[in-house]
Amino acid sequence: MAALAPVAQLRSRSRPLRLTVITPTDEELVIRARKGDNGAFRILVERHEKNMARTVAGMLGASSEVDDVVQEVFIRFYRHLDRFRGEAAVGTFLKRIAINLSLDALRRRKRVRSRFVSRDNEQIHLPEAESDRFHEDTFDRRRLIEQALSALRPQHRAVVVLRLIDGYSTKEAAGILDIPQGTVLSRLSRATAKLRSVLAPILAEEE
Amino acid sequence: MNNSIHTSLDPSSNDRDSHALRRLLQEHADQASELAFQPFLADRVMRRITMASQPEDQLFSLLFGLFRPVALASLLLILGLVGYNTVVSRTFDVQPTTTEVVFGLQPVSLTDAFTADLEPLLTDSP
Repeated sequence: MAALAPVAQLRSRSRPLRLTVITPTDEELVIRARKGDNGAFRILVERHEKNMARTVAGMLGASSEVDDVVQEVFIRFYRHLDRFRGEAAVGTFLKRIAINLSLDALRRRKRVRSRFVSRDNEQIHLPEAESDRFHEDTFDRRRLIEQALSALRPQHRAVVVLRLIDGYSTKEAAGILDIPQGTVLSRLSRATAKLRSVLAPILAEEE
Repeated sequence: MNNSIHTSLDPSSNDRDSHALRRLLQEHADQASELAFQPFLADRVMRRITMASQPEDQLFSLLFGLFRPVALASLLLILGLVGYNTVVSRTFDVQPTTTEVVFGLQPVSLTDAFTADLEPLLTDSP
């Protein structure tokens, strides 16, 4: 009887079993991926894909290049896993790759356009967006925003995407773009002034 | 000037215009990513990673990594040898072809080919 007492005590004290799922951090997943655990890398991709797609779409607009660039972001990250030292968050590291690859894509786009225009010797309007799924008004509105963003210089667009779309602070944006904070502020100031002037009709509607 | 920039662009600012612009751009980016982004990205990325780590690619990257450090030195050596061969070929009696110049081959005339050079054999014999 005396031997059974502890068991009885345990039974009386027992509480409903609670299962706690431990979600691995990004850093833990990176360590596992470095050791060849592709499943860990897959979790990283799934965790950050939406965020990267939003950034790249902000940079390139709704074009088919977005998907390719986002894929390339993760492939580049996988190849450079050894270079990731954990000084910045994985999201910030990926964001830097995404911005750089988007800037490359914008340069390529500019080259292609200039080639077409110079050969044909006339202005050709290549549409930024490819889909007309939305209602006409929405489409026009989207097109206007797209044009306003396209009118910005790529470096200015990167600042707008990081500060206004992704919500990074000036310091964080400066770190990602590897430029001084003052440059971020001046680029943002010029870019927002330009955006406000182009988007004035929509902004007035919003208010 | 800097203060005005800070106040108008700071996330905590109450500037309605700035907030409206921010919201507009965020909505636009969300819509654009929905339109342009295809589903099952993780599958495609993992497939590309798996394809990139095939044995053939590994062999290629191994060889590439092995020979890359000596590639420039080898190229300079080859160019040096070609230059040397070109200079030497000018001393030949018969005009050599380009291939003979590049590879430093002795040009052989028909007379040379059919004339047996027995002189060294005759002088060496006791």
